[in-house]
Amino acid sequence: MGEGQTIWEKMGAIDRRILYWALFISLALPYIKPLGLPVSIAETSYALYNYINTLGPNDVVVMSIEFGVSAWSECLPGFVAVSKHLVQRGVKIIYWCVGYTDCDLTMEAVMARIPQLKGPGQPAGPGDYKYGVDWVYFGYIAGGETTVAQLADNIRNVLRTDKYGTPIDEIPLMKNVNSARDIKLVVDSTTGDYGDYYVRQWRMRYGTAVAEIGIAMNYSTFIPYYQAGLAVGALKGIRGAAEYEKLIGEFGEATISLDALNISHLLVIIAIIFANISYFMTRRKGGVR
Amino acid sequence: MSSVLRRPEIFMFIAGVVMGLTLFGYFFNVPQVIDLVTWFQTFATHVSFFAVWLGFLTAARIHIYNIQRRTPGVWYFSIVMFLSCLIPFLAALPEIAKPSIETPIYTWPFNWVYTPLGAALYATTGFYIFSAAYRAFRARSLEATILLVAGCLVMLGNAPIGEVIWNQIPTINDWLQMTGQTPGMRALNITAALGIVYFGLRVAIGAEKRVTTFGAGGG
Amino acid sequence: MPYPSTIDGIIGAWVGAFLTLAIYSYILYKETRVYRFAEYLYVGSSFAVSLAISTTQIYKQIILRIASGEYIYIIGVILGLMLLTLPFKSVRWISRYPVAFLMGLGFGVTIRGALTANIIGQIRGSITPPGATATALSWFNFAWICLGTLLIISYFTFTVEHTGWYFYPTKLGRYILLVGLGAYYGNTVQFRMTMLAGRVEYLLRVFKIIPWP
Repeated sequence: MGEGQTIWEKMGAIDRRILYWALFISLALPYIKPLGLPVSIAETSYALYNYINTLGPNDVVVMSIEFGVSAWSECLPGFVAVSKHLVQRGVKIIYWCVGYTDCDLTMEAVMARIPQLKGPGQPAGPGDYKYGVDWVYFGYIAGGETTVAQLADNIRNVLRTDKYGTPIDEIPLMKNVNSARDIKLVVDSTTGDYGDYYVRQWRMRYGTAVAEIGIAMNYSTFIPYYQAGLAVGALKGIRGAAEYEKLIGEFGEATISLDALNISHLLVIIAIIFANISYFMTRRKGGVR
Repeated sequence: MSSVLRRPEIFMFIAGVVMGLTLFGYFFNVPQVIDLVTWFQTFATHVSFFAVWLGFLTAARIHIYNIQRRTPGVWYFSIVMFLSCLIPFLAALPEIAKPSIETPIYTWPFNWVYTPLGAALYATTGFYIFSAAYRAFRARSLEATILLVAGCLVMLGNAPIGEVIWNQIPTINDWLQMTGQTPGMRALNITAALGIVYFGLRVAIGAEKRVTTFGAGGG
Repeated sequence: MPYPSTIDGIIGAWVGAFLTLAIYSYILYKETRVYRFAEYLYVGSSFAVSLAISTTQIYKQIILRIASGEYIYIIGVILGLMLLTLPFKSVRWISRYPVAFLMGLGFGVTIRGALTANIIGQIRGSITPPGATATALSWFNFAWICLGTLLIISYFTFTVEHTGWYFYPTKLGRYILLVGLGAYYGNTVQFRMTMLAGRVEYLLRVFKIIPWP
């Protein structure tokens, strides 16, 4: 920095590492001292909640894990909250994954957070979800949109066994489930375009209801489908997850993580305001064109 | 013989016929065509399993080259790459017939190396977004101001603190999310789809030669 | 779930924390050998996971089916093996067959969905007016979406020069597009900050500043 620089010029040229450290430290603070601010609920979260409330024990829902372990912070809490709601409603659940090879770890995390989901061979008491009867997990299926289309046409053409090697025809839940026609709702949690794939291949062809629990950026791209009546709801990343936790009355990880969002967002906005003040003050003095 | 088999027209024909049948099977209820397209989809899924190996082979060639040539500052990292790939993979190989791979030589690096590294790399953009907000997000023009104001309002709306600052923030955020951004996202959606359809049809009729011939000629 | 109690779990948690900091050393300091090491380790471990999963899929979805007499599945193997010739210059042309097949199928599958969901569905969504009980705001929103979409598409139409009478609709379209991109930016900040917060949370847990979940 030069000698004759004004305070505004100096402010505009702060070393980026100072900014990074400020961000890093400020993100840690809410975890140590939570703020616990109230959360209002978006229309799309309500819409998904209300749609699931119309479902019952005879309905089958696909929960598609299209996010990797690396995106757990944003996607997992919403995925867990919606799964919990489905369990509350007694809806049958099929879990699978077309996008990420590490989905087994995600499924383990979901099971750890929803104790009612009993794994294969585990005894299931009243209120529990018995594996194979109330829920099933198929693991990773490669292939992208082509596979999503193929699953819509004929699930058995893609899947012969579940993740644990049980033939599909021996799984009671799958007895009458052959294609997208037999699925009431597909909830896709994605960091990519899988929400679009399900709308294109499931909703448009078979009329299956589609909802997305995407990363916040996907919310922007998914809203046109919701507005056009092609989707029944959407959760906006961690924010949507916190809203859903509030709706089902089970506060969890999303509610805690939302505090970090308060600080980081405020910091970004303050940075923008300071940078713009610095910019205008410098420009007024003829420093920047 | 091989010169006949590598003629660009053959690839154009395959791409066009497969695309045509896929579209035909969607819009017309001809069971034979629908069945054929279902088989196509099955084979495509199977080819995608091999695509992972293709990615590995391509990367392996580069890293073998680095090791052979002792490329300064890189070759020993290429060895790290191979070791961190081959040791867990070879350990997992005898267990591929089981429902899940359970050997700790595979699961330990999966849980404690792959997972945190993936998340850390994914999250690095957070730093850049922050410094970009500070350095580049300036109200230099009306366009930049619109972008900036809309962005800040959505940020305030996404964090509960926005509601504490001003109780109308959620209403504004809801409008921006549900209505304000819809024309933009919808126009991008429509124009991108039109682009896909147009490009696909050009491929189908062989007009997009660069694609169907993969650069044409030899190789 | 308590803090890892086994020795491999404890070492693993600390290795994870070290590697996280190694990645951030590039941003918070500069490119170092530690960062490079972490980067290559990630590439290697990603390949290990992907190869193990794809080999499992090849075995379970193809080999077992062929072994049970469903010989038609050999077509997938042949196409897959043809694809693997791509890195080898003398036989690279063979890989063009599966690529042409995949491209044709990919376009076919995408186009059929794009026509209905992304074009017809979106146009229908834009021109459907609100119902009889609509408020003034509903009509404003309808006009915003319907006209806004049209104006932005006019901005994206590059076959007509944006001058004369055509200048104003495209300019307005550009402003409406920027509202959308601003909202998109706001949502991007949320996603990226959540990801970063997730890593900070992980480090705090490993260092026992906050409890393990």
